[in-house]
Amino acid sequence: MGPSEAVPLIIDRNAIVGHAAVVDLMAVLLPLSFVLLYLRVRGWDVPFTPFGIFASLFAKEGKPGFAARSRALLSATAQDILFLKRAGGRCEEPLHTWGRGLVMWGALGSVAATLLAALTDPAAVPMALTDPVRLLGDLSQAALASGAAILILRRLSNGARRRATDIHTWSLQCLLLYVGLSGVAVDALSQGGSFLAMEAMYISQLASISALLLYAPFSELAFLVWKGSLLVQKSLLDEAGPPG
Amino acid sequence: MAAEERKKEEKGRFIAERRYVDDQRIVEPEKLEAGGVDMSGRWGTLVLPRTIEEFDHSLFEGVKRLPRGGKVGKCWQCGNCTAVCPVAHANPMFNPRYLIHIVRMGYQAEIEKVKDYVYLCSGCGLCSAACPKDVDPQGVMIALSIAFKSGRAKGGR
Amino acid sequence: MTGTVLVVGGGPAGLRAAVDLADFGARVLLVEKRDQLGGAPVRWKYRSLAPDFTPTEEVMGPLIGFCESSPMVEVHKGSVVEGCEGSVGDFTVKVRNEADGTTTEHRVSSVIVATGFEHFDASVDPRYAYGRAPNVIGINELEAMLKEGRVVGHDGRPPKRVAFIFCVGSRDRSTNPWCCTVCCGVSIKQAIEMKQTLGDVQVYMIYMDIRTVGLWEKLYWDSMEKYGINYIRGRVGEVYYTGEKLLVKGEDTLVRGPFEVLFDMVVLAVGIEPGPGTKQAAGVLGLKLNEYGFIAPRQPNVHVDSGRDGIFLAGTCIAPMSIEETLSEGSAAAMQAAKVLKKTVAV
Repeated sequence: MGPSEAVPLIIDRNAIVGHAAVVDLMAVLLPLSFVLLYLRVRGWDVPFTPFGIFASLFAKEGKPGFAARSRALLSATAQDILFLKRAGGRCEEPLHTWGRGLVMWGALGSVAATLLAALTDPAAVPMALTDPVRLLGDLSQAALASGAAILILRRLSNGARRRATDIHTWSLQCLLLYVGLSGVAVDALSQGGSFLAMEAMYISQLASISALLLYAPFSELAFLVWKGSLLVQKSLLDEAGPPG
Repeated sequence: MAAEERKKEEKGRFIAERRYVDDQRIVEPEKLEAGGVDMSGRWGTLVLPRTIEEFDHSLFEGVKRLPRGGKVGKCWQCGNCTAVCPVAHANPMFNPRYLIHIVRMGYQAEIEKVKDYVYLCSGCGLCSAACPKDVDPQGVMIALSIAFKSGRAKGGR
Repeated sequence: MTGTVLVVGGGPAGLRAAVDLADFGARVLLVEKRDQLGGAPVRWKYRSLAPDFTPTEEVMGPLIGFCESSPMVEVHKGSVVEGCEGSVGDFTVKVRNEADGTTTEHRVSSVIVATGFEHFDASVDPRYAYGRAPNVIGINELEAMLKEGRVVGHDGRPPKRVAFIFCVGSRDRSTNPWCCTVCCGVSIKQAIEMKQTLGDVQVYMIYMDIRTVGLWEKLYWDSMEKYGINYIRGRVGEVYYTGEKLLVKGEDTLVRGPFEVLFDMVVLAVGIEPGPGTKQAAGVLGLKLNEYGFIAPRQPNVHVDSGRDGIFLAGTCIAPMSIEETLSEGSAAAMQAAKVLKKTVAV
């Protein structure tokens, strides 16, 4: 559920959309998104949902001990998900792997930056460009945008692939691209654009993030999250899975 | 893990030419009693024939209703998907063409044998671009991944 | 010199040739062995014709009607050609009516041979249990059932599960080694019609290759995509009647899987082979048969040319072909006869 939480770092006291309103919006949309994801997966009539991972931490079978399980969970997550061992290992197009990686890393970075910004004083904005949190935020948004751009261009560049692409895939990737681009744009405008333009861009980004949060459970992302957590759970429970 | 492995190795160890028999075809009851006498062990071992005795399309119909599985009925088994699949070139157990066919015809023993490998699909989408019948094999692999875990899969047979 | 052309065979090719020649202004002597015109489509009661499900009457009706009523066409049903002498432009032929045994003599300018084909007799190949087990039928018999709109087994109940076995009596060195070219398309057409007629029926096509050439391919696509008809690649080794159902043994070669599955009905896609009429006509007219028993044209790429001046060929007496090709060949042969007429008499 990565990119969605990327709230930009420009939070002005005089802004049209106040900080508190944004927090409230996310406080409603995030849980809603998770509930929708849960319902969607349930709709497939499968016993396992991504939230089952946490139950697996305490399951009877598998590796003994909570610590050992947690370690297994972390290493599987890092290997399979963060470093794209599975997807990357069998993908003969490095560009594709990069596209996916950039989207994921960018999304995670944006979330991290947002959380960090929220923890530090949100009133102390606009921050200087030298601020590490802000730098992380900008880089993450740029990574997200470029990753999404790679994914879209990869599909556009090949006629057969273009025709075979599902409308949902286009929607998801375009939404990701817009979230990243608008994040970068908001920050750029805050440096020297008009206040109104920045606010408009900010509102459009909030809208795109909201759309993404609501749409993600019904997109391919839901499957990827489900499959990813299923594979992580497999290694957690020591189930004999297919050799990587 | 070791216990699991040992159990697997010991399965049907009395069978002559054991290595030619798929695990899935060996039935070994944990405990077998006949007339009050414990007959556990090799006596209970049963090797199911390879012969296909039924075509069962219930799982296939379920796949058609899952997200992106709707076009699977168009497949005519040309193998273009497998030909371009980078995973299939590395691992013979992952074969989109084959997966589609055994699910279509409901070959349960074969499904049991290879179903865990469907998760190897890296989602690169080369197959969907190559498919001459617009089956969207990448999407079908998503539907199959779900179907193999779904109650609909158990509905078959 | 005479302005009459003899057409041997009253099927699609012969009728088409007769209609074209009569329209052109020539007299036609149409000799048909059976008691009705129309050839195989009428004799076997084909419901419709591949690839577009055109009702047989729509294609054959006008041709038969024309020949039955035109003063230019003299139809001899229940008759065979018994003798042929002379040469191009002036043949003398003997036509014998098989019912009353009378023979008439006619002078004709040229001869068109369109003696057609027979469906392979599946009882020749014992593995399909045709003629021994109930509910094993040929595609020709299924056509008649479809035409009636009543597809049922011997017990009067509609089948729930049907297998079509392709290439019966075709592509097999123990029977006929050639491909009948149309049975794939016809079987698929019938499978679709069966789905339309019965609704609740599972249909399995057991095939070696699907040879729906040209635009017939649409049948194959539609059968899968719109009608959910199943395809199993393999060849059936045995059909066995259990007393209730038919056990079909074969291999699904796509999964290396031998199968023994029960069916309610088995339809055999029986192929095309030259019939006794072709052999008889070739003997009377002095034409060469090829290794398969079809009439051999002077060269295989020019079907109309029999190798004997003034005798022309059309349709499935030369090779297996579809009805659209057969009709075209009838017209093509009529053109050759017209050329002879133009040289010898003023039409």
